[in-house]
Amino acid sequence: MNIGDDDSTLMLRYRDGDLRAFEILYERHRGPLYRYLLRQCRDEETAADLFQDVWGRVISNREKYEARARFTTYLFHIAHNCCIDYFRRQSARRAGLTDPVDDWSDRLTSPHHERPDAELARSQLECAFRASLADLPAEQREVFLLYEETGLDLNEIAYVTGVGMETAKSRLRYALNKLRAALKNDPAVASAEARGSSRE
Amino acid sequence: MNDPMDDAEFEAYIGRRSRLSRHYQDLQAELPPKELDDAILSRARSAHSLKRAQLPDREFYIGWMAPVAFAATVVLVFTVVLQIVIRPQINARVEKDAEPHAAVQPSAETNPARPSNAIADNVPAGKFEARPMIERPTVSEPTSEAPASVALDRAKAAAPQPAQATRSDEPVPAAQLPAEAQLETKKSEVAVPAPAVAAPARGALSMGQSSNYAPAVDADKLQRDPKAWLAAIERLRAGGQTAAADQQMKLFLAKYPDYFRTHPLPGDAR
Repeated sequence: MNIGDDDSTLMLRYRDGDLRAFEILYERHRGPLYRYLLRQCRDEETAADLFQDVWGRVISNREKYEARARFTTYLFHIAHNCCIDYFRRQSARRAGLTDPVDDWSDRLTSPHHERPDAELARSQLECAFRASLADLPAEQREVFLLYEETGLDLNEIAYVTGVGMETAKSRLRYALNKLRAALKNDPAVASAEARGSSRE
Repeated sequence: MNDPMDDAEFEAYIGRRSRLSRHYQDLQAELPPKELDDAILSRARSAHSLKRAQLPDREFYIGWMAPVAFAATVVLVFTVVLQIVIRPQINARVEKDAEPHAAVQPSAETNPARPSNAIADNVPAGKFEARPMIERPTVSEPTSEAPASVALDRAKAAAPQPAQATRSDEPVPAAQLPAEAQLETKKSEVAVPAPAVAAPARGALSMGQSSNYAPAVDADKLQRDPKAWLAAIERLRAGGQTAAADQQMKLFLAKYPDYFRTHPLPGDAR
């Protein structure tokens, strides 16, 4: 099998009964999709459920699939809809959630004394970045995640999220501004970057 | 207040040359758990095998969908047409047929001797009363005694015989005949040519001879005398009016079905 096949072709082959094509497709997209879902809903269990839901829809709708757009657009459009459904279901409970930034900090970073300096700086940077990312409004975060994880251009992101291209671009700009500002003002990031630049 | 990102910086980000992108890519790349991978792949596999198992049935249904839909449409259209177009016509015809029946009903009540007869029910009763004499068009041969005599016998059996009508060769007034016999009269009225219908009793024997039309009283008198009637028929036949003669002979046989049995013709070997 030619791995370089286009994703849409692989999906069409799976539709026609080629299971190996689906395995390749899944292998290509499992990481970005999972990270998109995880960073959008910020809960591993929910991300796993949504991940299964998205692939389940891809599998069950394979007969209707037509290669009118990139497969990535198709896949993340489904993922976006799943996230929207999830947010609607959780909207009542979301108000009572604790600060997700704290959750991420606790989950993703180890105590500083267990790590060497470089690792410490890296983890601090990562923690700050995750916190800034989690602090973004959901729409801006989604556009940023789609841009980073999928490689879709702004037009495709606009299609996936169901907004106009200018709206998507504006959301991305807002997200970048906030992330940049948060990282600039974070002393941990500043020190980490200083260490990194002195090493260079 | 932070300075907003300028266009050059944004274009750098779009071109994947931004520090922000690098920071993001440096984040730990989470992957779905192995169990999740297995679950999804097995689901894809089972869906594929399920499709294989269901494929013949689905193709079968798809293949039959068009003809079944066509047949169902035809049945539906036929039913609708039947209900909307044909059924009212049938109902109207039935009602139309039932109207004469309703008109006959009172006369049936007034005449208890009138037997129940589906055909007779459809004939208006008023027309019978206007006919003083009986016609028996079902008798086709002069020597035949079957249909006309049988019908007449049946009529006689069904109706109470009046005291004065004891002989079969005597004329019977139409009012005294049962409805079945009257019906036969009605039928013959439809079947015979117009002149015979117009005046079967009055001057029936002078049909075709307009100058010889006699009053009704004379015709009745003539028909009461079978010999005179036969002579008149012979005269018609001799005058070349064969059709009229045949018609009169039919009427004669209807009235006197047993006449030739009791009065054989001179040349009759029987």
